[in-house]
Amino acid sequence: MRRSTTLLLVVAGLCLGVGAAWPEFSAASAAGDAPHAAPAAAEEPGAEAAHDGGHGGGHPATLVSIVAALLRGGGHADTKASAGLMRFQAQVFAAIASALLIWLLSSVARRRTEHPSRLQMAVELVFDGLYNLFRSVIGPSARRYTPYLGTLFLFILFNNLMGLVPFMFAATSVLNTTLALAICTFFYVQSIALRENGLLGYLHHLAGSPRSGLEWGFVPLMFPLHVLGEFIKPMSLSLRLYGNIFGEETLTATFIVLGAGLLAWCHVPWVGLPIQFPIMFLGMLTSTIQALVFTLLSTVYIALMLPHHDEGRGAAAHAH
Amino acid sequence: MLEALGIDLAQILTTWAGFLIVVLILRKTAWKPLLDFLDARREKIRKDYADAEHALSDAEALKGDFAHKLADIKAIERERVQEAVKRGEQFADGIVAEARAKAEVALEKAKADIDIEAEKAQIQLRADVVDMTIAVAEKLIGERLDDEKHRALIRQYIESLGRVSHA
Repeated sequence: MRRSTTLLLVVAGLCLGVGAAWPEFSAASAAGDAPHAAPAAAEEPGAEAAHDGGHGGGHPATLVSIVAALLRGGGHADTKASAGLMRFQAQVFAAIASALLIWLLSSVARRRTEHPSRLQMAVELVFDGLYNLFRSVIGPSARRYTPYLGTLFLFILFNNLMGLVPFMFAATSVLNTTLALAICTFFYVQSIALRENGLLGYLHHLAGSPRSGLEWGFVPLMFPLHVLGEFIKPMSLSLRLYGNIFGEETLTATFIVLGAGLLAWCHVPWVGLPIQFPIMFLGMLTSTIQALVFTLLSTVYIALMLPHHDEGRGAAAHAH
Repeated sequence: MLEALGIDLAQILTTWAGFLIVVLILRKTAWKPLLDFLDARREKIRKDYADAEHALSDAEALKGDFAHKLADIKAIERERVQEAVKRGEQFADGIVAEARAKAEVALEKAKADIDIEAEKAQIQLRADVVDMTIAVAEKLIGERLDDEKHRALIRQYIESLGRVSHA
């Protein structure tokens, strides 16, 4: 209890200070009134949007933006290195999240014992929970797809939560990251469909699995629709995740600026009212939900591509 | 058009490749070992549970056997106790009968002894009475009588007294 209170106070202190300290609020979100902004805040909003990795909106300073500012050497003109770093900011933070994830899970897996530590129990709980979730959707063959789907969930979750840590950045608040994940899932699902159904079965599935003459008659209409649907699935996945996390990040940033603005009258640098706290707790919830939604939908797409699902659906259709 | 949407193919490819590498690394270093570990533990729990069930059924069977054997043992015990009681009673009856027989023998012997002693006493008494009578008679008549003759007379008198008393 004492430890968690201390941790909460540290986090509150960080957020309180960081709220006012982050130098690179965008002019748009801060309404040009970030009271204690560093000189980098004077950068033109348009230029920032161009090189912030496609984030598009204002975001508090991150480790990468600070390094990029250092690379600029105090000037406002972008160097090649700083521009490159800012362009791949999301990938840098995704790499940090991935390294953290790999280190955590690999160390737990390497040191696993029959008498597990709390960390091992937590990891086992997550792994077992995810595996059971996938098995409830896919069936007994879920074991084969669990590493991909589980990694997808944890990768998205870690990246989402990174956005709540001061000086970090949620890579999933960038459309390019979510698109890449959706494309991965798209190719993974299609490869599973091809492997499990064969080429003819795959095409049959894309044609809507017609059985009766009437259904075969609708194939010219259904086939393009199904193909289009397969492309729309990853798009919807990526846009949903991007929209939610970007919205959450923007809201947090806005509240940080508001908190700083509320205490602007006392002219004390590094201090802001931490009104972003409720949004951050909400962010923790939505981060988990969005990771789960992305993963669960990917699981459903895989399940729909497996042969037994067609049989089940066919049987159900016949039953009706 | 893609740039206007903020889509950057280089970023997408980098993330895509990076994520695939993460999946491959985690599949090898975390997912497979931990899922195998969880499977092994699940299997061990299932086996332990099955063993426990088996042991429980064995114990139940053993308990049934024991109950059956206990019932048998109790029956045998009861039978043996009854037999022992019966033998004890027989033994006691024998002792009582023997004691009774011995007592009867002792009683008979005692009766016989009493008869003998009574007869002895009667003979002695007769002799004493005869002696006293002779002595008294001698003092009364002042002469010595023939001992044998007088003795026969007196004995005859005493016997006649006995007959009179019996009559």
